[in-house]
Amino acid sequence: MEGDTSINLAFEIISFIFTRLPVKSLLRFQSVSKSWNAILVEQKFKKAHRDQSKALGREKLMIQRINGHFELRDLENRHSQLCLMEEQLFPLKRFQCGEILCSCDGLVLLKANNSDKEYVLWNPSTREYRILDSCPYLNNHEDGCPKACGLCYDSNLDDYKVILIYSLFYVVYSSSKSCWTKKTSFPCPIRIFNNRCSQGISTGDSVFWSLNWCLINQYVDSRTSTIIYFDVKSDVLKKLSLPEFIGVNGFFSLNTLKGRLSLYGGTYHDKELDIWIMEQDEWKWLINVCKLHDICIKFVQDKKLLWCSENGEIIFHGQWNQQLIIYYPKRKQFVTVADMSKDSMYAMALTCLDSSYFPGLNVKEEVTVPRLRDGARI
Amino acid sequence: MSSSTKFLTLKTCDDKKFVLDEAIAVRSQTIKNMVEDDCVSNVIPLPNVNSKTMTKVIEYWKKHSEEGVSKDVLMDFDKAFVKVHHSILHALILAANFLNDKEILDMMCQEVADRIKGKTPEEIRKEFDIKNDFTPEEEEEIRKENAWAFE
Repeated sequence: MEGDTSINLAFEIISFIFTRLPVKSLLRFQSVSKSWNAILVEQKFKKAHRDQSKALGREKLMIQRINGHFELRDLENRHSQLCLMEEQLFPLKRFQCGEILCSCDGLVLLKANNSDKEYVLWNPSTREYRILDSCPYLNNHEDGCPKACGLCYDSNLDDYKVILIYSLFYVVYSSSKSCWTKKTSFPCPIRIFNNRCSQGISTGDSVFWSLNWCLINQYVDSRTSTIIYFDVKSDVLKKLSLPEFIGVNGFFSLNTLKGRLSLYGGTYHDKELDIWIMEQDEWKWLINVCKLHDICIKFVQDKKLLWCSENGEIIFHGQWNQQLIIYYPKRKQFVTVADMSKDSMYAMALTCLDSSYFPGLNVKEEVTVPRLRDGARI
Repeated sequence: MSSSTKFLTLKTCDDKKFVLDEAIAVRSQTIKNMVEDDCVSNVIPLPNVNSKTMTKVIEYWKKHSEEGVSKDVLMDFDKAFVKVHHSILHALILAANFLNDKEILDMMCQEVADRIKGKTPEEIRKEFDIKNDFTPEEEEEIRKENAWAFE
């Protein structure tokens, strides 16, 4: 009985083990045998893998360098924290220095370099991608770059949706139907005072944006700030009331931590920030990060919260000096991630799920995805 | 502790008997269902589990049922628990699957995943005793598609 038990593992168990593997191993194991391959290429399995990754919180750090290269860095291994796992250039030139807009379930939305109308949906873990059909409602010159954009999953329709918000309207793209819809009803006026496109934070059935960082002469007034969200079930934008703990001089931003919506911010003068997390429709205070003056002169508004480890270490992206910083709460200390040279400054950083799923044009459940990879011609 | 502790007798495929507190044995969903459906006679037969594997399972159940045991102690226990020869690991997976104990199944499957994640297809075939049924051309084709995953 012993020694040969391995052969007897049922496919059900084998595929359960597979859902716990990193994508890179799965791609390698496709060539083990026909029966393994059959499991691994199935959309149903890939979805199970995505869901398991989500449940286990298996995220990677995705970083875009100034020269356009994308890096995936390890968040799981505590001993080699942030070590480089792989590096790649996007296969299509016009997206190589494109802007990463947002991410959801291991998918990333990327905008072309020189066009505000060209977008691509990309899974950097499997390297599959799909260029979105061009949106008939956009006029390149008049509309420009969207004020906000987001990506979210509609579990009822099994559909990933892209949302681009402009001043007077917003458009929603259904990845399963490949079509755009235009909408014009806003829950509140969309005013954004800096030129950066606000990055949608997707969690559950919604994607959230914090808008209106009113920074005029360094004066911050949170009263003009709002949080809006796209409710994927009803397909409309809604407004989320600001929590009371945000004072007049406070400002804040959003992200997800441990799969939940989180809010972080502080006041300009305090040189510290607080992090809250949404739990059962209520904001719960998580941690205070002090001594911000140790790492930067621009304080809170410069720091983008990226990730929080099991034992409370927090990773920030310093946007002004384009560095990654780890905060150790026990020591109350910041450490800048060291392997930095001038050309490897980080333009953009976000977390990305390690998922083998890529949405196809699913007319029905089991349609195979048109796979485009390195060298594929469009 | 309940005043009237009930005991169950489990019999493994090699005819060894284990007498166990019912409160502990119902960590197995399979046994729990049997108890709830009242179809427990004197002895519960476990035709798919041998005594060596069952001893390990019971060791796990007892530790995780200890009163006031700390999270850290359990973490260390689990860490040591999964450090077994792969034949035992696989036997434990089969047992956990039969007993329907999701906790052990999850932990063991994660251990297998961690052990194989860095391996090459050749090493996998050897470990799982799998025959390569691709033609060289087919294999080449699939490898080419994911060439970077072999770096």
